[in-house]
Amino acid sequence: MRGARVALEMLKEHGVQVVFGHPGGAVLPLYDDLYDVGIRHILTRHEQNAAHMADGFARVLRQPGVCIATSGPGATNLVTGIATAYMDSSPVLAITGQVPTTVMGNDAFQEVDAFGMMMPIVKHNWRIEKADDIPRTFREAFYLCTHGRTAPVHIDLPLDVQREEVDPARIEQNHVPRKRPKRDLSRLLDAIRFIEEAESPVIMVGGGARWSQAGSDILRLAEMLQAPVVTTLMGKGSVPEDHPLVLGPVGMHGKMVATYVLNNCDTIIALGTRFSDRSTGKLSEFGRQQRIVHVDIDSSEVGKNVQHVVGLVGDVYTVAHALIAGLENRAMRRRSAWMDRVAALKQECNCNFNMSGRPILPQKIIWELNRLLPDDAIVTTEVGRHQMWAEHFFEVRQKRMFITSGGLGTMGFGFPAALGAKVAMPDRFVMDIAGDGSFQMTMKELATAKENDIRVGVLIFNDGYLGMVQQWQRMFYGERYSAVHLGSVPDFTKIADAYGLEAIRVEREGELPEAIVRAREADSTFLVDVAIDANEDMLPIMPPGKSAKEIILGPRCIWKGGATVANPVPARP
Amino acid sequence: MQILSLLVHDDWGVMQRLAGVFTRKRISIDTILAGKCEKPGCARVILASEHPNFSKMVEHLRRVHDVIEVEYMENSAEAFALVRTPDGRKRVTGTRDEVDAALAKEDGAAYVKSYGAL
Repeated sequence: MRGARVALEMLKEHGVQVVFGHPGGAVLPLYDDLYDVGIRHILTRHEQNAAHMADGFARVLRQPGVCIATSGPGATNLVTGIATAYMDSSPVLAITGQVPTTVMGNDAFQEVDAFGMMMPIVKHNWRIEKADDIPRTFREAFYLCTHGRTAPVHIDLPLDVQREEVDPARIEQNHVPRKRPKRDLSRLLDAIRFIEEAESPVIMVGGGARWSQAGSDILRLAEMLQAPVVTTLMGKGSVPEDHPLVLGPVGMHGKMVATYVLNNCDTIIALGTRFSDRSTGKLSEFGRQQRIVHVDIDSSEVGKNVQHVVGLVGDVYTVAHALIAGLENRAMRRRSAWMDRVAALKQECNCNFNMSGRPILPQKIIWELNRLLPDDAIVTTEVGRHQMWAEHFFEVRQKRMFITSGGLGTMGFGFPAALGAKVAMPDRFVMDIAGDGSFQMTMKELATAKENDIRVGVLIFNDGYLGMVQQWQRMFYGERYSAVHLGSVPDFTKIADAYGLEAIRVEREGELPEAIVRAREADSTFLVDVAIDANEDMLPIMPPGKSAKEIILGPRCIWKGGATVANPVPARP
Repeated sequence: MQILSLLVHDDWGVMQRLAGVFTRKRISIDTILAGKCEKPGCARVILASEHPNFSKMVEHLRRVHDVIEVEYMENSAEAFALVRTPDGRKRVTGTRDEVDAALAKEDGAAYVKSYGAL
């Protein structure tokens, strides 16, 4: 059996039924064998989107998504998608073709050092030089991207290696992983002591909780400790947001109650978060009054951004259970004063965002989505103000999922990720919450949606601007608007029409519910293009490089700064 | 002088991966010693630096899939230098201070110096 076929057999061995990709000269043997092998291939219109689709697929199923591109430009186009997956720890296997080993290094046609280029944005990558190494490498790649901290991996497969015959004995050979993930719970007793002594603990949940599916375990821990739960952008959706202890997202555009409680508690139990500057604000000001228990699967994250923590290395599910077991038989302190205070603070942040306006206010759109999307909807977002409105106001309850590019902040991620998510779970309704700027980056995949009959909804917050940049220029650069005006083109309904898809333009808020229901019930991918108020800022905002004390609330925010609450529990000195 | 002693798989790109870790963290490596070692298919890489955050790189290096072991050593550096003098080439070995002192006497002669420890 030749190398290309063995590579595809390895995919099948690991349960891969769908791959996303774009063929080219250096992957022709692979695509030739794909013809016979029984794996569904989704042809994208750009390699970057193949990576985003594999990423969306992986985030929904928590299994590796596979994308394939050719050498040279195929590989360079993959880079943005793979970096996006890397920053959000998504297990994607990227396969790139490469020029034959005989001409490698000669600047051959479509040659690029994909192996070197991918190194900083994958957990590991391989350039296979002998076909006999294909079985071992693919098995290692699947093992590596799904064990320990999930992450993308990359295999560079030269053309001659794809054509070379593989020794059958090598295909049968058992795989022994080179490295196994390690746990370190040696400081568990310190962590338990900190938690026991806490007057006002908070559980901060990051993306790691979602990858280890530890939502119900975190809620059990929270109920046991009587501790509120706040989430980072990546942690949103790991715990149901209609639970009374869940306060919502923290950070730059988080809920005031969540950010306030996180910064005014005395102990933070951080589960699967890397303390991104977008979550913490100014790092030197963060966590100075708090004791911090930091749980992360990746030992290099412990003490990286926030120092002086009690670090527990392991996946959130395992460590949460270890904490529950350690705390179970102890007399738990009653934290009724803290609970009462948190409940009162939550009331102070309970604004009514069912706002009327013309042009339509973006908050209103999210309010309608909360109401009209099913309880198992998968929502993806692009990057910008619409993403932050969705983070702030969209309620991820029951089986809903929220998928976004948190780490890299890749505009254009949401639509292909939505297509990947729909391929992964065809029975669920998937909606991409998009901005007009972001959507234009990857809207060519409407063709992929049409050709492969992938049905998702796209709701565009259309303000004719690169909204977030425009807002920052308004707030921080003296209203000197530079290169942010997108104008009124294109007409997205005509774009949809050109791809043989349906769309509707919404300019009055009364038309919104019907449009969303039409998107939900459509037989094909459906666009809802909503004209929104370009002057409506995403507030509150913790300005970049500033701490939680310097949050700008804005005129609509009802938060009184915790002032209405009597008997505050003091932070630990 | 701080030393990181690594045992790595001798695969394509391992030095590039290691150097990448330091580049991202804005740490300059003063010395790189790399070579084959007693274990087949493996190599040892000895890195030395005076950067204050050098010791914090242990966990970041352990993340690199090719890295098998990382050991941090402080102030235990042996040094080696090769000097080109008017009388020909000269080798200098000894503790860090001894080698530095010997090189200071050479009065501008071309030399290459490396620190290392096992």
